[in-house]
Amino acid sequence: MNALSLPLLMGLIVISAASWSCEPVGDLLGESDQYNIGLQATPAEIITGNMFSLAVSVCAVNGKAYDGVLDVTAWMPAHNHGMNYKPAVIKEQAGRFFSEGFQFHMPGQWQFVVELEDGERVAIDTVILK
Amino acid sequence: MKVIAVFLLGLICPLSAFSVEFSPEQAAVIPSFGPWQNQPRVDDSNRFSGDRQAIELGRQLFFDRRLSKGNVLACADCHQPDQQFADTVALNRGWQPLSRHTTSLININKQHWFGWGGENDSLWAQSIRPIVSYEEMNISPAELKATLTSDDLFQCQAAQLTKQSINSLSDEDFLVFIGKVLASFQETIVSEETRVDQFVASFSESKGDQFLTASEQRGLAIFAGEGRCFFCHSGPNFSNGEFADIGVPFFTESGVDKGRYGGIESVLDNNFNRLGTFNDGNVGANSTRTQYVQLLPRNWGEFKVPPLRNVADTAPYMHNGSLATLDDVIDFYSNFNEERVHVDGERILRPLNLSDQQKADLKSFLSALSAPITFAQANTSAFDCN
Repeated sequence: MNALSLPLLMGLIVISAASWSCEPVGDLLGESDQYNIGLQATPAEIITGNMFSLAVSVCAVNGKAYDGVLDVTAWMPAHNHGMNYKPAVIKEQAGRFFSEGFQFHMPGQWQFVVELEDGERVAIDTVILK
Repeated sequence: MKVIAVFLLGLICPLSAFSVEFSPEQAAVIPSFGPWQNQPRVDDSNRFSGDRQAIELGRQLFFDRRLSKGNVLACADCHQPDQQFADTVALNRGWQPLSRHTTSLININKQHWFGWGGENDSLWAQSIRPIVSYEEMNISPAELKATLTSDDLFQCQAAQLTKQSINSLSDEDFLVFIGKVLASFQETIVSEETRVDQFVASFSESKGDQFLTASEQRGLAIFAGEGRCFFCHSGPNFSNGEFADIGVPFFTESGVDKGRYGGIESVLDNNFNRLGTFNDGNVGANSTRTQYVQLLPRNWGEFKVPPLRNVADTAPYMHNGSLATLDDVIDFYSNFNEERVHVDGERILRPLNLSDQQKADLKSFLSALSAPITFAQANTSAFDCN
């Protein structure tokens, strides 16, 4: 091993570790057999009629960051209707996404649904009071 | 699939502090009706928003019939200041009979969509619409510009505001300028604090019983409880700012009013929307609703959820002005015809079957949402044009 190969090897180890180091973010958490999902709303308090965005983390249960694409939406199961808006999702890095264009137009129980490329769907409930 | 539910628990007040025993669910909802902040919100899509000269010029133009073909109609002829900036007829007429009721402009600066179908996403774009509509003021941009720019006083005031000769603007730019100064004035039309606001502000501390009568509190309990009014009439302005189908017919003399469906089609096809070049602010930041709104089949028959401040003073009601009094509105919901609205899940609107006392209580509460309104008055020192 020459003088250059050690830093290169260390760099590869760091990059590899980063792609495997995936921690769910946010205060809304959900899981399936394969994934742990985290959602963090901005503004943190979701208020009826106000727009908000989501930071989304998707980690495989083995700790590896999810590197595919996904879709996020929300609906009210009791009333069987979704939002008046269709959010867009931007991939920031493996395991981390940003989604903008959410609005809950009614107080009550809403359910976020995160759908992954492989068809896996994870639902996360939240209740909006105001 | 596992689901992790996260519940946000509301504050539950000691209930004995009030004339009415509020349930924990009602007690969790009531604080959401405040606080009321009636300071005009600056619209960064309008570079004149909040500008004292723009407000004054907009005030003058609001009452100026030269904004219509034949000089016969001003904004104030339908949005009458002594009628809560609305009118008292079900359907007014401009150059043609109209199929929608005139909305009040009170607290209009709190809204995000404008018109019963949300045809515009800014107050300035909405202000342009009636000027050029053949049914309403029916004047062309070229004719409007020719008329106003022939007025030396207007020329002087517009030049002082814009720091340029108004004649240099294209007809379209001139029209947008007029819309933006009209909006600047309308943003000042606000209602003051009500006794309901005082009650809501002290509710979480189990104080404030003196601000509302027992009847008004019982009405509030219906509004925030079994009446489910707060599902749509939410927040300090008593509206979620969105659209709903409550079964009011959408057939008109000349066909069908597409409601929100037509509104979305219209706003997305409008050169004056927030996604266009006339937006003076950060398009990405101030246009999220317009960027992400989606056209859905259920938008047919949906109309704006109106704010309820001063609602007792803004009869008649509904998008077509079909209900003459507040009593009629309460009867409409009390005897609600479920067959008029299609739903796939749990019904939000159900017949309330209110007793006479409950109807009176609900009316008392709604009437307590009234307060004096304020708006910009003549400001002769705004310009140096004499």
